[in-house]
Amino acid sequence: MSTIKLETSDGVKFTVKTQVAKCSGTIRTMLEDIGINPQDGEAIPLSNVHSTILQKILVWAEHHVDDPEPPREDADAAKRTDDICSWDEDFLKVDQRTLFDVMLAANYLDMKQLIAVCCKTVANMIKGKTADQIRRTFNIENDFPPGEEDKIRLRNQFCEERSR
Amino acid sequence: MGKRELKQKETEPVAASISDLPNEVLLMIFDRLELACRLRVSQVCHRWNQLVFHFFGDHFALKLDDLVDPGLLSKDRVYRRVEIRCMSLLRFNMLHAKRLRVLGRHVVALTLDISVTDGDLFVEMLRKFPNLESFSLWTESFRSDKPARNALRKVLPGRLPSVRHVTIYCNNAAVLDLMARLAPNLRSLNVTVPAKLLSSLCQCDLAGLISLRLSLVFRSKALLSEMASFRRNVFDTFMASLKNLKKFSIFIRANSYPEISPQIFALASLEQLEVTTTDSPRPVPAFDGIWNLRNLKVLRCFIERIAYPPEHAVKPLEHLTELNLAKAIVVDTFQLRRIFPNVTTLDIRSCQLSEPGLESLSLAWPRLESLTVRIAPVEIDSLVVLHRFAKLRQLTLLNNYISDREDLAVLDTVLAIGTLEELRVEGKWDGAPGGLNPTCRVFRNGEVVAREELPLGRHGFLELYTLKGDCDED
Repeated sequence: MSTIKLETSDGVKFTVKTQVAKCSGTIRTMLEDIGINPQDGEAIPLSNVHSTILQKILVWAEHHVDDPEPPREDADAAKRTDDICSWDEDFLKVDQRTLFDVMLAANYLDMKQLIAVCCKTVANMIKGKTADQIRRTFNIENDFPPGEEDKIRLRNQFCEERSR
Repeated sequence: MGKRELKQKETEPVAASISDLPNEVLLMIFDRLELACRLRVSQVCHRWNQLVFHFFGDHFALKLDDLVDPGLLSKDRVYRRVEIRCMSLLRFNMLHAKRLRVLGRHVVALTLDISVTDGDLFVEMLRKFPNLESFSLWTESFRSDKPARNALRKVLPGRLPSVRHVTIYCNNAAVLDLMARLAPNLRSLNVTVPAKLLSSLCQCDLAGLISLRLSLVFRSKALLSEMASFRRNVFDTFMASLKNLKKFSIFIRANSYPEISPQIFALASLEQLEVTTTDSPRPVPAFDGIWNLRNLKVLRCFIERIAYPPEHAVKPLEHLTELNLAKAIVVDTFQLRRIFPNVTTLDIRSCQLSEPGLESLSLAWPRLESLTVRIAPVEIDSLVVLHRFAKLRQLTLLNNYISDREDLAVLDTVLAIGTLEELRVEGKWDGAPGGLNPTCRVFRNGEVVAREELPLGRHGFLELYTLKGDCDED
């Protein structure tokens, strides 16, 4: 089975099955379109990804390598956040820093399925919380100028969900 | 592909926070939130606010006669779903005109909640929304004198050709007539009118409808046929004209339902039927002739007491798989099975079942995949009966209306059903479920219950029932 080498931002080299590495759209493009030849033994540099995160992502890719191409999600299915499979749920039971590092790396590596499942996880962390609780959960600074927040709250009062 | 600038080489992982995520990833997260939640997100910080309103700020509700700061409506934004509420709309002032101009062209869904208005102004207003696809009107008093109505009729036909869905709540026949003429390409109509206006509705040409929801408000105890305004032949012709109807939903007084059910059961293309009647001390003959709906797949029948058709007349409805009798206080499983033999989704949440009741249920439909049932009392013996549903994937359990709190631990028996993917309990429940079937999602009154890992030594629970020999593990 063919393998390729990947080099992370901190200089660690990974030898990975080509098929697993191709879960990443970015690596796939490098191999197929740009014509990087891994047979040369030269490692593909992933200058945005740290070794600890790449290791984690490779675990995910290894597990999902045989997943069929997901069907094109219709608008309603895309909104669901309760359909995370239990393996992914466990995989993402990590501290926030790791979670967002994984998301950044997955975005850089163009791994759509991994990003999607991360987004669902974060959406579930946001659901049912007030603006203030969301700020505290994610340690976000309230950077509205004085009075601005009230104005936004007022504006939002005129918005209402309708079933259709 | 990441569009961000490459970060300089670092020896430590980037200490990422949610603020490090690029806009496109944040938007993917926000896209998965309901509108109400998305609005709260917009209050978190400046960047999130910009994102939410730049990409999702297309939904707006406006109180037209309220002194809303007009600056809150932005010319730079596109509003697609708009709701306008006001007490009375009898003339446009400058402010109204200005606001409507801002909202204007991009709106696809409009809700008008206007207590009092007149026909001319109403049409004037609608003309400001040329691209509507969906339209709702709630009005108590709609002024429209005869000359104005005739003038309207001349200018109206086909003015809103893109409108597919209309919701109307009104007490004026002119509004119905107006809408049918305004929107000639209607596919779905949801209408709430006084019963005396039924004939007016029936005079509209609605043959293209695929979905009709009809709620009739009765102001007296009279039957439809006793009302001076009701014309049987007009009603029959109207119902026969609905050749494409797939979904029909009706709310009606219990004693009038049998008057019109033969016409409903003649809608050959119907796939979904929902019937809701007012409460009645007498059982309502709900199913007599329903077997003529050969294509019916879903039946929701919200009637407290059901009178069953005579046995010799019954024919089975083979295609029906979803049966919802959520209001029925008693159900006769064997009568139901005769008419609906292939049900896989069943909701009988108002009817309290104990062990024998559950047993007859399991004999009637052993292949149920989804069941909503009220069990009283909640006892191991009753719960064990549920094991007979070999394909059960979703189960919703309600407990006795007056019972004490139940302990979720008792549900181990239910979780032992290997096929179960979702277990919902409603009512008064305490404690935590055990660790069996850890992939099954558990909800208590709609909220997720955290599942714990199965501690060693708890397996004995399952073995207990296997030993009793009255549950089939497969």
